[in-house]
Amino acid sequence: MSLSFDVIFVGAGPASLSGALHLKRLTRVIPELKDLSVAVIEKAPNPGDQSFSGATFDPRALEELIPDYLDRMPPFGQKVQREGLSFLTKKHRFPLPFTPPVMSNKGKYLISLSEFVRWLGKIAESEGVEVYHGEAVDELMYDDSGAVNGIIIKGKGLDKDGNKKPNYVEPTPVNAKVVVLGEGSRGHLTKRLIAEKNLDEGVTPQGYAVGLKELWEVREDRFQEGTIYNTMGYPLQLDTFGGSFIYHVKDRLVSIGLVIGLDYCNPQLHPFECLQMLKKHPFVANMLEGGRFIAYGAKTIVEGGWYAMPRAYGDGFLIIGESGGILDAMKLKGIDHVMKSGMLAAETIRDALVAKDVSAAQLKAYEDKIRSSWISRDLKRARNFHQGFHKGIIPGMVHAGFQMFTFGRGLIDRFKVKPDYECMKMMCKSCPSPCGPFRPDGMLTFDKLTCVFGSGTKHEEDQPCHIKIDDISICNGKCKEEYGNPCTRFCPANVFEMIEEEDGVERLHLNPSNCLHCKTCDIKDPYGIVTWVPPEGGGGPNYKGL
Amino acid sequence: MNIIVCIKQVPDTTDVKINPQTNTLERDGVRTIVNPFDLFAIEEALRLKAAHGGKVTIITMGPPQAKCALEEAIAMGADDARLISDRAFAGSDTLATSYILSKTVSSIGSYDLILCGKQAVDGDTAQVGPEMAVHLGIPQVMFVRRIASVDAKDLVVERMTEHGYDRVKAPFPCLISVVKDINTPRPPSFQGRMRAKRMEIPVLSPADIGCEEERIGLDGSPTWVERIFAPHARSGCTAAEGTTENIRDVAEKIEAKLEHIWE
Amino acid sequence: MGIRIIAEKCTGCGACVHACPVEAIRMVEGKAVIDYDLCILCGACVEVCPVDAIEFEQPSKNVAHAEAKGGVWVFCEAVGDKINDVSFELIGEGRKLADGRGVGLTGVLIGQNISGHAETLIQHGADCVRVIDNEGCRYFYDEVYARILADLIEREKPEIVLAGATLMGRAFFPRVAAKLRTGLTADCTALAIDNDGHLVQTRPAFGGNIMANILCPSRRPQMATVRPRVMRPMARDSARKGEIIREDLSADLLVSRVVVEESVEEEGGAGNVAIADIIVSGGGGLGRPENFKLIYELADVLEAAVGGTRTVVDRGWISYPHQVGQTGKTVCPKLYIAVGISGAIQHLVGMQTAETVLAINKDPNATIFRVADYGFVGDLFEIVPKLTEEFKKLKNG
Repeated sequence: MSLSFDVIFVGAGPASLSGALHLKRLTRVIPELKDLSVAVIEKAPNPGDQSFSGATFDPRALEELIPDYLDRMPPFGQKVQREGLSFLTKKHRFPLPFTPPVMSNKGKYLISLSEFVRWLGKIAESEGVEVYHGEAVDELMYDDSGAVNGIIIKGKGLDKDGNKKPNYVEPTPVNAKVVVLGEGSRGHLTKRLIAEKNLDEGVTPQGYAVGLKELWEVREDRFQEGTIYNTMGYPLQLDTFGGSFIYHVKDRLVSIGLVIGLDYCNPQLHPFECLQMLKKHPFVANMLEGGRFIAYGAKTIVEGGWYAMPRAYGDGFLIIGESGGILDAMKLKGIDHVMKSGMLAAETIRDALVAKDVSAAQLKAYEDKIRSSWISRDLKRARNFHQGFHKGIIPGMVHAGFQMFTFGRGLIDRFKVKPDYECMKMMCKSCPSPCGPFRPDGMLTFDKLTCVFGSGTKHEEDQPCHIKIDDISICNGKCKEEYGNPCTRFCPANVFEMIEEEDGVERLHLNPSNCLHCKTCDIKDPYGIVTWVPPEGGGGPNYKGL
Repeated sequence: MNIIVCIKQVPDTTDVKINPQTNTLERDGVRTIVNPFDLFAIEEALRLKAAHGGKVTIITMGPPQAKCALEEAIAMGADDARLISDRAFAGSDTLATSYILSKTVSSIGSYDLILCGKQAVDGDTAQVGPEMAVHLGIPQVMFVRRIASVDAKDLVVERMTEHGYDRVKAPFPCLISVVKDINTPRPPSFQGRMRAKRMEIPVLSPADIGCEEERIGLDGSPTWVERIFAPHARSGCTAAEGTTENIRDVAEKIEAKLEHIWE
Repeated sequence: MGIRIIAEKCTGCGACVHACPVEAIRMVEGKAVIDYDLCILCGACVEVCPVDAIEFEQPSKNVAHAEAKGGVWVFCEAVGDKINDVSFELIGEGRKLADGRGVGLTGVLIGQNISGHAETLIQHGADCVRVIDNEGCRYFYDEVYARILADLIEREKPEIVLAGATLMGRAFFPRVAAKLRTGLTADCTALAIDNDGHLVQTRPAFGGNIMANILCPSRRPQMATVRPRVMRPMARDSARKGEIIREDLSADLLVSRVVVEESVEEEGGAGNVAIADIIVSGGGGLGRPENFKLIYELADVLEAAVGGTRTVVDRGWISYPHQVGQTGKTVCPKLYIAVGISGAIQHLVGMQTAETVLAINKDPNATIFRVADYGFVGDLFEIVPKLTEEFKKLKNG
């Protein structure tokens, strides 16, 4: 039996769910499309398990998609009532007197993305979208002309050495007229498709940041519902783009997170330890005192912005959301944008199906719609934001200042940018991170393994390692010397470890079952030899309330 | 062969977190899964069907979201399913649950075999199967580690004993509970998931299965939970020096606690 | 009848939300609200509410105590012509319960060629032993044993009936309970009599992560299977006397639809970490695979199973079936000895319900000491051999 749907969305995040729901609604009223089969395929075992963000949420796309959303009890916290931007040193905090309007989140909802996705997924399913969980998509399928015409679902039941176990299930091909990639930041299918079809011709190399976050339940007297803080400075050095966010969401739950641009150059930077040290800052420590650690998570965020967006359409496919480079780096927001991109994809697909034409020429309309929507207005305004910081915080603030008054043009419009993995300096030219040496106290700060445990991540143990390293001798030789094996530091999940073996030599050892599916390794390894592919479907983090 | 498999949706007890600050267990945010022992039962049923033909029907009693457990079983390859769900069933202990499930089995019609997993990992009682067998008036074999052979009227199985196993023949219809590692359960296939999603799963109420009210829910449950509490909280210790006296002291204390094991 | 939140008392602290195993409670405008479609009436929320804002109405505890005059009964398990140790443990516990209720203690012995054990049971504390010694009971047949016991219970009306939570006990006891339409609690680790004279049955649930006290107030008998090697037998008193009653059976009680074709003995799965009472576990602190020798030696003396952390399994120092922890086995032994184990949370979650934990580590701040009852800081290469010596002396001495 050949399996097929009319349209497949890969990844059940806000972009795909919005797109799929919108598509079902649009086509319901068209006689020849009223029973359109729309599937969303997600590797997490349950809805929302692997959705993760800060987050502040602008409901403008949701208002378009589900005008009566407030009647449907969305899992939102309060609206942001107070916000503060400040600069931290090790012991002190210097608040800025105001938050620049273009970075302001006042009036936006504080939400948990995993809860939001759970809620949105239920609505989508109730309207006929088929959402499948626990299945990873391994590859795209192409017809003879090179058009995308389906996906291949990853098989299950190979052992560590790649042999079939007794309960082995074959990879499953599933056809579709249109495949929409909504894999989130650094989607693995998107990465390959971009390379195969040269979708990034003429655009700036894509850039990313890594975001790590803990969820705490704080004491009643430390909880400031509806308040958000953003900080720069400590624990990051002046040459590193990034900062923290602290959101007081609801029910005494506070998200504390750190975002670090992956164009950082210090190989000794240890993002996880920086997050732990952030908590020791008196301002944060006071907030968390007497509180309860609940959970931890990490993901990468696409930051390249407007100039790094790849071509997002082709014969038989569209790329939406963060996979397509959509995120407002200045506001550190993107849920509303990615939802809108999904909806615009839905409109494009409806027109294509009516015209019975899913070629690139027809699907190009998606890009036109993006460019004439508020997505592009916001992204254009932020188009040079992150890049302005590539020489450090101070120049970055100067650039940002000028960008604010020139709708994003600033002093330099379109910086020359290197891919993140080329930005790392060698060990000999770097200095220790201001965070070290770090010793967790078990009350306020924890070791990485404890936090990994708090992410709920689990995988089938006996399966091939899903993180591919082209040449491990580089890790054990050249990289040790040149960069000091930075993977052991930039991975937020302790997947990479240098372990002294019996002959006294340290070698790289992988713990793939700790993986949080963030893809930092795929982005940042200085030799470009690490490739992340999804493990067997059903594995990965278990984010509740994150 | 008509086989009915009884399953339960349970919290994933291995998913429990420890709060690193207090070393206490936290149960919120735990995933729900199909009871792991039931996966072995479903797999065994599917293998029997593959070898001997017939039909596999899955039943479960639970809140509405227990439907997901049934969908997973269908995605593995089961043919049909029933969800028994109603507020009136809440608070049922094993006696009431076994009564409800046995009424469901009767409402389904004829069957050769009822398969259960050894026990549910939340309740850990292993009682519902045998109690069902009594309500239905059928024989049982428990803790089966292998189904050796099947013919038209009966089957031969190996059931675990303290010292090895018994080879046992049981006539149809009967109830069997299976232990871990009797087989390797197959994961759901994508094809199976599509089938499961598109299937209408009947939801049965007390009236649908002809339950007497006083035998279900709290009313029908002779046992109830008086109190739930955490096991003794560990306070930890200050490690002592490894002197011979200290070691002797600790060894003696431990030996006193455990001597009856070595008798 | 049922459960409800008294909104006026609710302070919105959220403790019930966390305690609910099925996520049936959420906060709506600062007050807890129960979703009755999800609620399984387990009562976990009632326990944690700091302001008693949750009302849990249960059926009244009226019961016809008066009818159940047959005392406390213990099913004494025999396999072949040997009696299982759990029978003595249960007689020991049954003695306490019977004394607490001021009633007699009866052992029930079913099998073939087992009459000789009746005397021994009395010497261990039973007042009376009812013996069913019959060829038809040579093999364990669930239906037969259940029928016989249910028949006896209906006739004699004991108020409490206990059996070991063994393969046999757990197989047929539920059949008895269902026939009698009474309550049965499985795998109890503690038993007691409360102020109203009811049997309080304590058992682990949720994989051992919580304990529950169960009551069966309105039906008799109150039945329970009891975890082996938890209760203590009484010392044998050869002067003790009691009554031995040989029960005659009608043939219809002995009919079994199931037939045992063959009974096979196999080499034990000794050293199975999952069920061992004592486990000695080694971690990365051992340094080299050869050093596991220390662990094996100690385990040998203690008749213990050997475990390992993920670290040592990943390095190939011991095989995966020995792994204890989140991605290995969860164990609940009486004694867990952690050697050279730091106490990563992924390991703790697999062993921290052990009754007694002894840890040896060179780092006084190692997390393992947070869950240990006894601990030694120092060089394990000196401490472990000394410990082995001491235990050897104690066992032989």
